[in-house]
Amino acid sequence: MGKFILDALGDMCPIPAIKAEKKLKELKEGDTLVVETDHSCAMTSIPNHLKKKKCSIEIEEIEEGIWHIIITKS
Amino acid sequence: MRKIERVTREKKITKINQPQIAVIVLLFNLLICLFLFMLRPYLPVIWIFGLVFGYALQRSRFCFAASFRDLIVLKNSTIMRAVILAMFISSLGFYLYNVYFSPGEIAGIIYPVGIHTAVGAFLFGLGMVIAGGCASGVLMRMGEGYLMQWIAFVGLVVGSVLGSWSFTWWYGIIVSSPEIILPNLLGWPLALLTQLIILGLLYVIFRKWEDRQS
Repeated sequence: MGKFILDALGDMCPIPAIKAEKKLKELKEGDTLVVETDHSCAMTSIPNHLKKKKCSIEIEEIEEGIWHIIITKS
Repeated sequence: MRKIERVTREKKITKINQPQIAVIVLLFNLLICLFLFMLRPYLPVIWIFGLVFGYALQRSRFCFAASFRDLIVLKNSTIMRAVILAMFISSLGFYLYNVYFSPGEIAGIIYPVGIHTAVGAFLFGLGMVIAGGCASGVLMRMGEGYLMQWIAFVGLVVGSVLGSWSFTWWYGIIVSSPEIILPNLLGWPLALLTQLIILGLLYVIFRKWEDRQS
């Protein structure tokens, strides 16, 4: 049950989604991946891209214009 | 990638009071509308349409650049299908407008189609993926406060100015193909039907293709 953070600040679509997918493959079941992004479109592109993968996704705005996309692998 | 214990930051963040800013911006927009009304009475309508369009674009995250890019890079056709659906609906609207409201007058700008269209589209596609958005996407994210798009916007303005400045020259040497307007070839009902069938087919193809990717 590890928690990992993925720095995607300054990355534009579709880079956050590709990065998240790659890292998610390395994680074990129950692990959480937190994607830190400042690209608003990542909030739709990441859930969209991972909708067929087994994971749950939560989004939190941690600062003005910076979001944490919390992906839990299941 | 580093492993961390805690995700939430320790510092408590004081967020900007958005409703307050929204009211100020709204009042400012009313002033602009008043000013535009005094210039030409119909101008506020265009201004308000622009605002509503931008709002819908931002809320829906509708992105023409993403529709093509995700198709190729992410093998995901969700946004492409949304674009097809939008074209489906606007085809119907365009038909109704032309047949019932202002018959015989085509509300659109029609240019000759040919190889130059494909070459231009390819170049535009490369540019829009690197810049992170087409014109509407760049403008929408600029307004959102995404600074990288301001750089893209400079490129957009420079390119547009150069393009319109040398347009007649390009037009003269490149374009020699005819203008094709489906309604003139087939008549309005058949043109509409053809368009809707093609769009519907594309929708189904993309849907099936996406299902087969995983």
